[in-house]
Parts: sequence; structure tokens; C-alpha cells
Amino acid sequence: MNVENTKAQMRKGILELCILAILKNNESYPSEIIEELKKNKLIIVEGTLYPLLTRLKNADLLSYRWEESTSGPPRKYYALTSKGDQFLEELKMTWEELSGAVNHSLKSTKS
Amino acid sequence: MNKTVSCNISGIIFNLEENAYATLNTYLTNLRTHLRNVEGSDEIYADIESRIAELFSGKLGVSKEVITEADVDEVIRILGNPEEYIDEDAEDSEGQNKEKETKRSESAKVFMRDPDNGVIAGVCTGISAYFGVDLTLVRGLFVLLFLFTGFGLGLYIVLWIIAPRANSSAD
Repeated sequence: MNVENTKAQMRKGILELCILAILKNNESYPSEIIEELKKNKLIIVEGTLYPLLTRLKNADLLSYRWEESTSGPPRKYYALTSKGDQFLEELKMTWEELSGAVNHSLKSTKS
Repeated sequence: MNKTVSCNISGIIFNLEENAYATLNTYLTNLRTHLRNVEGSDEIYADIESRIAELFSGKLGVSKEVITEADVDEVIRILGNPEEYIDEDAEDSEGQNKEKETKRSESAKVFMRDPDNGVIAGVCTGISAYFGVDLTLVRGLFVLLFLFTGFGLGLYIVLWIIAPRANSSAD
């Protein structure tokens, strides 16, 4: 049992929720999402994001449009679909429940 | 002085030092291999290439026209190695795994003789494996059929002929 592995698994589950939450507020391209996630130490290596975005997009939770960039290749701007919006709301609720429950059990084992 | 290789990454031409090109090439080949079984692999690959192009573009300027090996190393550090971020089995193959399982249980339902573990032709062993019934019980039943009815032997021979031979007990 490797602690790094467990940590990575925990982060991965939450990552989808965070990506959807970031995109709810504004349409973004991957580098912006990465910056946001890195700021909050939710992502270690950037590569993690791309398979996730593709998966969320294939599940119709995200859509994207192309936009030309002056400083590199064209960018994919991702946005939440209405299905993605619903999905996010459900994940949010689960997260609230979970974080409450986890904090509670951590506290009760401490005392 | 170093030789450079010019290459097209996501539609943009970059000049890479020879060893930088070799490193990047190895990385991308490795990425391709890891993406082999992942759904939407072409798209993920294109997205990552595009990100590499973006990071390279940020490194170049008026006084820097060539990507060095150090640049490639840094980009790889930022992106991470494919084995760190691509989950070949878990993520997208959920559906595939289920498919495999149903296939396995279907194949378990095919009646086969097991001559390796049987006395004559493995018909009884096959029946016991198929129905999950105790082998002794099946054999006993067949012996009774041999002795007291006319069709025990005939039934055995018919099953011997129609049931395919299993290649392993797993079949």
C-alpha cells in the first residue's frame, strides 16, 4: 500500500468536480484550467487533465469551441453543457455530504 | 554548435536540437503506447501535442530560436510521464471490463468434455463442471444408467461425440 498512490486516487475523484466547478463560472481553455488547479495544488502533472477533459466531453458534460491564438496553436475553449451543470450540482451535494462525514469521523477518532 | 531538426508540432514549425528531438520523440512514442487502449486516444494525443507547442512557443523569442534538450526536459516535467497520468485499465475501459466479464461467464456455460480429468472421455467431469454438481454424483448416476437402463451407454457415447474437448479446465 503506497501512500502516494492513495493520495493520487483521492485527488483524482475530486478533480472532475473541480474542473466542472471552474468551467461553470467561465469558459476556459486547458492552460487556464491547469493554472487554477495548480494554484490550489489539486494537480501535480498537467497530463492528468487531458484524458479527463476528453472523457467529460465524450459524456456530453462539456462542449468546446476552437479559438485562434496569437501565441501558439489554436485553443479549445471548454464550457459546461446543461447536462454538465446537473452533474456538477449532484457532485457538489455528494461532496458536501462526504466532507461533512469525513471531518466528523476524523474528529471523533481524535478525541 | 548543434545540428537542429525542424518539426511540425500541432501545426507550428519548431527547430529542435537533435538530442532534444530524440527525447521528445521517445516521450511521444511512449505516450502513444500508453494511450493504446484508452477511449478518445487520438484526441488526447492531439491535445497534449498542442500543449507542448504552446509551452515551446512560450520559450522562444527574438534571442532564442531553438528548443534545447533542457527545454524538452522541462516540458516533460510539467506534463508528467504517461505512466503517471494515463490509467490504461481503470478509467475508460470500465465498459470493456464489463464486456470481458460477461464474455467469460458466457464461455463458462459452454458444455465441454474434460478428458484430462476424466476416466474415459471426461463427459462426467464436463457435466459436473457445467452444472456445478459433485463429480461423484454425476458418475454414480451414469453408472446406474449403464446398469439399469438401456440408454446409459448410448447417452455417454452421444455426449462424447457432440461435446467439444476443453483445452484446459478453465474452459
